[in-house]
Amino acid sequence: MQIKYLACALFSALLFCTVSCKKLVSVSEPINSITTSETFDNDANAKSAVIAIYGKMSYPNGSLTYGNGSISRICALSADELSYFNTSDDFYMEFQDNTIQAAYLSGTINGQFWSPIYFSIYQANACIEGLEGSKTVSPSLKANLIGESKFIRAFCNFYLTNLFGDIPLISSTSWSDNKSIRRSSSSDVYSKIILDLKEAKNLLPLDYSSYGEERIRPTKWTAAAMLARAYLFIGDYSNAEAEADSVISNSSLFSLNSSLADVFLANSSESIWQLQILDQYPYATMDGNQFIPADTTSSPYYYLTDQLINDFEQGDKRRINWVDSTHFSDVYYYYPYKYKVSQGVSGSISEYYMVLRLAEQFLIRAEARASKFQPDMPGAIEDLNVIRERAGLLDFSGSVDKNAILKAILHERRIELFSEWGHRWLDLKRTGNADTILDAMKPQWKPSQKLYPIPITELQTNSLLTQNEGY
Amino acid sequence: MPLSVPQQLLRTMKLTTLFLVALYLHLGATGFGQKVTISGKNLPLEKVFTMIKKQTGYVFFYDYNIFQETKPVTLNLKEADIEDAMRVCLWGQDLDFNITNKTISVVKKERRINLISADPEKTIKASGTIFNESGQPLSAATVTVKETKRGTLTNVKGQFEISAVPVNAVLTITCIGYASRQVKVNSEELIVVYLPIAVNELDKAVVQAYGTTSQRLATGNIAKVTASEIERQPVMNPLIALQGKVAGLDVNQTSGFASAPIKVELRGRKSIGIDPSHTFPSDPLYIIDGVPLTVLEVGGSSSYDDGSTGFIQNQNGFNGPASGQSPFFSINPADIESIEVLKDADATSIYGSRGANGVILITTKKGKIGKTKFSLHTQQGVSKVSRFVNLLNTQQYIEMRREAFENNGINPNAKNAYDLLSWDTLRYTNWQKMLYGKTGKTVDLQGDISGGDAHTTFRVGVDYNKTQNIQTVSGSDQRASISVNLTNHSTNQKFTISFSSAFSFAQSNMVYQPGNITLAPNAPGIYDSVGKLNFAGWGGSNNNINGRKTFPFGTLEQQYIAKTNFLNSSLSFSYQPIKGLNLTASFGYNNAQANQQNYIPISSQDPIFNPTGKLNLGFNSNKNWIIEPQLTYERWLSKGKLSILLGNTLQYNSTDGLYVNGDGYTNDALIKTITNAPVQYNTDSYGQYKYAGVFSRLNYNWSNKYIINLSARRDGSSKFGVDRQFGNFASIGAAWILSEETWFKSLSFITFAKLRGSYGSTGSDAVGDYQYLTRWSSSGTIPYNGISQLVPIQHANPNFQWQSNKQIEAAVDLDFFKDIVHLSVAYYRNRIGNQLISFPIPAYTGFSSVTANSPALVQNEGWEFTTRFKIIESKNFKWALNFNTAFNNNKLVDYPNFSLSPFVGQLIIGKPLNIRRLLHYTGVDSQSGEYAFYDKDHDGQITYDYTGTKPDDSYIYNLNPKFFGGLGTDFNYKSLSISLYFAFKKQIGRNSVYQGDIPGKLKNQPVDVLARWQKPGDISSIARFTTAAATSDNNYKTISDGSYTDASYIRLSNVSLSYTLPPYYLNKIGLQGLSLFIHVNNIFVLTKYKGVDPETQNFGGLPPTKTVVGGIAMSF
Repeated sequence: MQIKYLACALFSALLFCTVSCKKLVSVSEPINSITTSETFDNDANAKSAVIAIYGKMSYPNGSLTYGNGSISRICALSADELSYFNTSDDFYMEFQDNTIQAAYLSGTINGQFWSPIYFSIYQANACIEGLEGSKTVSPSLKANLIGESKFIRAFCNFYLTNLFGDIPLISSTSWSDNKSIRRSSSSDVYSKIILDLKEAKNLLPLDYSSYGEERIRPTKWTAAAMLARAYLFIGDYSNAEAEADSVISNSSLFSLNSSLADVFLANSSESIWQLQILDQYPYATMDGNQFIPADTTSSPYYYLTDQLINDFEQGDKRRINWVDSTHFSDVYYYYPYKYKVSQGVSGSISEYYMVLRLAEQFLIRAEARASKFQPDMPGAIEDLNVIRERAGLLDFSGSVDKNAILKAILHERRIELFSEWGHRWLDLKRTGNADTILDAMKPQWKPSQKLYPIPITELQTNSLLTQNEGY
Repeated sequence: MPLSVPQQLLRTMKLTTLFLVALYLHLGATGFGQKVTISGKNLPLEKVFTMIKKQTGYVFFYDYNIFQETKPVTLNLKEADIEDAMRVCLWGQDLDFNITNKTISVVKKERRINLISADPEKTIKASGTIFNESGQPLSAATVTVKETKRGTLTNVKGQFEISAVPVNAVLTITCIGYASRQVKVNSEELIVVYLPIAVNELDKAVVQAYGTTSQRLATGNIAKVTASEIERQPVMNPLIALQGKVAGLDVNQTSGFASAPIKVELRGRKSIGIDPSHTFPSDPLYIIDGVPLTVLEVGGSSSYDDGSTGFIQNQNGFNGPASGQSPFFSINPADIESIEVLKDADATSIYGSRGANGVILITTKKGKIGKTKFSLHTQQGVSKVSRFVNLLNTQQYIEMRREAFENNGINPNAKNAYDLLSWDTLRYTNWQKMLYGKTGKTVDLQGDISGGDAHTTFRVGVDYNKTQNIQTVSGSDQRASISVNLTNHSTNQKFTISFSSAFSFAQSNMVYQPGNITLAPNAPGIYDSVGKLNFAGWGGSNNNINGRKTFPFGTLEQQYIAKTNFLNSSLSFSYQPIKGLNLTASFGYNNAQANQQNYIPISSQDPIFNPTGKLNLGFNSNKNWIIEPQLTYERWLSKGKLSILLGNTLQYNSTDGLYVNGDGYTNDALIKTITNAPVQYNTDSYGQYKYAGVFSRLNYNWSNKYIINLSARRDGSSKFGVDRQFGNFASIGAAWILSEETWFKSLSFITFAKLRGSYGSTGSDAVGDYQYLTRWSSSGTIPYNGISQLVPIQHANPNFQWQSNKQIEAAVDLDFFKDIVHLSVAYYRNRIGNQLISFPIPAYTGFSSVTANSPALVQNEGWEFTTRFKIIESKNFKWALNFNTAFNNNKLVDYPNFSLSPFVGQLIIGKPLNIRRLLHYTGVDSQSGEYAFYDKDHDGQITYDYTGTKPDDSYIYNLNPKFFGGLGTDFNYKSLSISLYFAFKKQIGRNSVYQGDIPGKLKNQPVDVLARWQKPGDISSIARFTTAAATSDNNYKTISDGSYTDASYIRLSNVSLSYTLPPYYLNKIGLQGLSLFIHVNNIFVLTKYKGVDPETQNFGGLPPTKTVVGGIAMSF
């Protein structure tokens, strides 16, 4: 019977052609993603990988994270700058009252600070590893991109150690190497920050031309500015002065905006690094969106504390230009009005989110000059007056005494940099003023609240990590 | 000495009569007692048959040629039993008959061919043919000689031949799915035996992996749920019909929508992943008519707790109000003939790397030989919420709020108490009734045509089903389907082709229901006086943005529509070139296309925010194809039947999803199309899966007494990195049927006793795809500095491997008093190692998890009891009971270096995975009125964290159910039948009082809170009312044992009542069958649990509904 043999032959063919071999279970690579080696295979992809660090900071798909405002707002609540309007919101109230409980706020702290900051570090590390291993990305671009990545890593570590104290110091993407490490001391972290920034400074471009004149990616000067801040924080004043000086003296790139209303505009002359606001709802900075109420009689989300409002000197233009108020239920509430746009228009975004600006460099240099081994008081006062003059205030007229000058600088930092990137919270802590100032203001203040708790999930997943004291 | 022809004939007739009597005796026991009244002289046989048909409704099945040689009959029958009537009619005719299921087949008697030796000492050759009652030859039926234990198998034509059979020996004829027969042989004439389909539970056919078996012969653990059990349940998703039916199978609906995903878990939790989002769904492998229904998890929102999002696999969490869509929503329960649940290693290891979570085989209905039959089935019904929580009315609520402010010393103002100051304090809305109070309607229409002859059978079924839900804005779930089954055997029976295919279209219209029943009872209405959404009413008098209470009902005007096309087809060719050898090639294909639309018009959003409209679209597609060539060989070897299966599998799946979002519409009229969207945003997801394996099984059945079953598989899956793709799996199963032993026969009340055991391994590759690759994606990003973004999306781990599951099972099956009582007890121990999980790692590494093998060893050990009891079995009255229950004991057996693991705070070696560390609640402090907890370490404060290092939170509670199961009972009285089904579970769960917010805040509360503490000295279990709860209340309350309670229950989950019209009336209206029925689901719950439902334990969510349907089924 022919059919019989035919059927048998066909069947055996079928049976044996499918006997397992590797080809049968190999699938094509995913269509919506590429591998690391493909990413660092050419210039365009490598740029995209680094660019995504800023993209993720600036627009993390609708959530509030360190890159788009959680540091500005939450650290300001923790310090003496902002109050939260809705007192029944326990989350924000614990920050404001400095009654943070690890178990209650762990998720928020993880979601708004810890995880996104460490994700940026992961991206930076992945880019550094990928670029260093790449033979096909052009060398000059490779240098720039590694510089950008190192800058970001330093920037992130700076905030991590200031918010959490000792932290796991991560320099690679290997989860198996990193999953069971201990916290590194803050001083080790600073060493790494300074090392990264110095390297970045050497690798980064000298101006913004390669970014299309947009000040939305770091240059050599951005690294210097950050380096100045890091030196100041560890008390290396001469280096702080030198770095700040290098930025300030580059007047062809940087100058203070004479009009306060222009400072936070996209690519303002004062800006050293801004985060681009992407063409996504609300087409504005999250600070503008969150601080500005709908109209002059609506309640605000956040409002400035009486202490801060009262600290403004008479005639300070910043009080008029950078603060506004709403009249709700017979009470005036003042809110930060540095960013003027609450909801922008697609295609015409006017403000970028300011990260580093020249005014801070003047104040860093002033503080460094006044604090260094051989203080330069006139130089310090000169720098302080640059900021005061722009604000329409008279020159510093107090006694030329180190403490008085430092106090005046600290006061100026409070007024100039309020509600920006946690400056006040970090200043209170590094100058040792937090306990006296905040204890007087907040009945439940405990010194242990100066550091935020390490997210509990981190302690659960790595039993070698310790929690900060008091949590 | 040769005999003359007439004598031969005479002898034949005698013998056949003897044989027939044996057959009749059996039939007498099972046949129906229909009465026949006929009298007349010389009636042609054909006419008599027609009369019998009219009177009884029985159908005749015969070849017209048989009438050529028949004699007319003279009858005088009054109220005679049908068998007797047939016997009288065929007396002296050369015909034989047989009655099954109201079908009478009449065939010619086989003629004697061989001569019989006169010498009784001599052996003879026995030969014959085995048919089923439809006249189809049965191949591979076993024929054994009782005396010599020799045996053989029938060929494709049902023929057999055994030599050297002693005269007067008894032949035992068995075939899986059929009752066995014994025939005495004393001549060499051809024996013809018709095997009836088994009616006793032991011998009924049970589908197993790549074949069929029966409870009698199975070496593995296979539970079967039949069509009749599925039909009784008025559900659209057949998986729900499995609830409580199978010992050890936990089936949960994840939300109240008919299309919602179903979470299925067999024999306890296997995965150590403690955070639900870190654990993959526990679904077993589903196989429909040989085609696996695999859906890859490319959407990224499936989890252990909520199961797989099924057919919805686009990214961005656009999963619809039901959070996904169960693939089985696209399958018509009425098309299903049976669902088999394969539990142990013996039954599942042939599925290799996919079998670790168990296997569910779904077999669709096929046509049966007989006259073409039309059936229609229609049912309609309503559903309503069965139970509401008793919440505070407005007066009580206002009292609570004022007392709370007083307790806190806070003055109510427009900011903190708009419910007291801005809203009407006399208004009352029962939000539960408002949100869930509607009556849902269901309509189900089913029709099918089936029939066929010995060569070809067919069935075509159609179905339309619509269920409206009970919510404020009523949506509906609809499904229309058509299914076709065709089977054809060639004339020589050697070639068989079978095809089955089902196509369905399903549509779900839903809204995201704001599930909040705890809204203040005096909250403003949903709609304003002109019928528009009441945004302004909710804003309070000053109508400002930030102080505005979020209006919760905007979603009611945000329509969600999901449309799904689903096709499942399988085709198999099988050919038997030589006796016992079967070559089969099966091909399967399924394809699901699910399209989602969600409109968010401007009108559904608060106008004060100047909103714009949005459109969300989701396109999901899932394709599977499979090729499985198989070779089976069956032969008689020594004293038993040897079966060998060899085969291989090649499977391919691709799943993809596209999410399209349009934003910024300024006109609601334009919102239906993406073209008009000013801003557009898309993401897509895609996954491919390939799977290949070779498998084999060897089964040897020695005299139906000792059975051994070996299976092995080597397979590979694309879910793993190179070098990790292949794995080997094997199992051994054995059964010893004690009741076949001669020494056992003295225990005559035990009709059947079997001991069986199995040991083997299965694997699980249930992880996401491409987890072994480093991946960078631009999905969901927009360019920065004019450059597109590439974001890393996961930690890669090229090293993960199969999860391995080693299973051991021992069981005993007993049958007492011939099918009256049946009892199965199974003990199992599954040890799951090399746990494949989304392993939690510190988020500082970049991602908080990585797909990896955990060294944990988890054990599920338990007992399952299944019993059936036919209490009364008489002609008119039958009463049967069935019961199943399962006790599973889950524990973490071992974890190397546990103290360094991420689970150290949550798990304890030696304890179940599902434990909670809780504070001990000691009541309400009679001085402060606050909740109080036991300070275990006496350090003056209550401390806890989730790392397990603080001693106050060290009260361990096990949330696994202690046992669960079901109890069903069926009564039949003449044409009336009633069945009841109870489901029960013993467990601890979260109570409702402590689950919601603390009483006093702007949320309604159960009336129980009125017994609160009011002044120092009060003793109460409810804390003071407060608007600003102490953090300790907020935090500790939910993590104390005070929020856990007994959540055990017994639920009368189904009552079904049906009446079948007796044939006498049927004849008058010309129908073959007619029945009327009522099915009721979820009638009542007996529980001590305080809250809506002890099963869902969900305070504020959609409560379970009660469904009542009534209908009519007819066939003609």
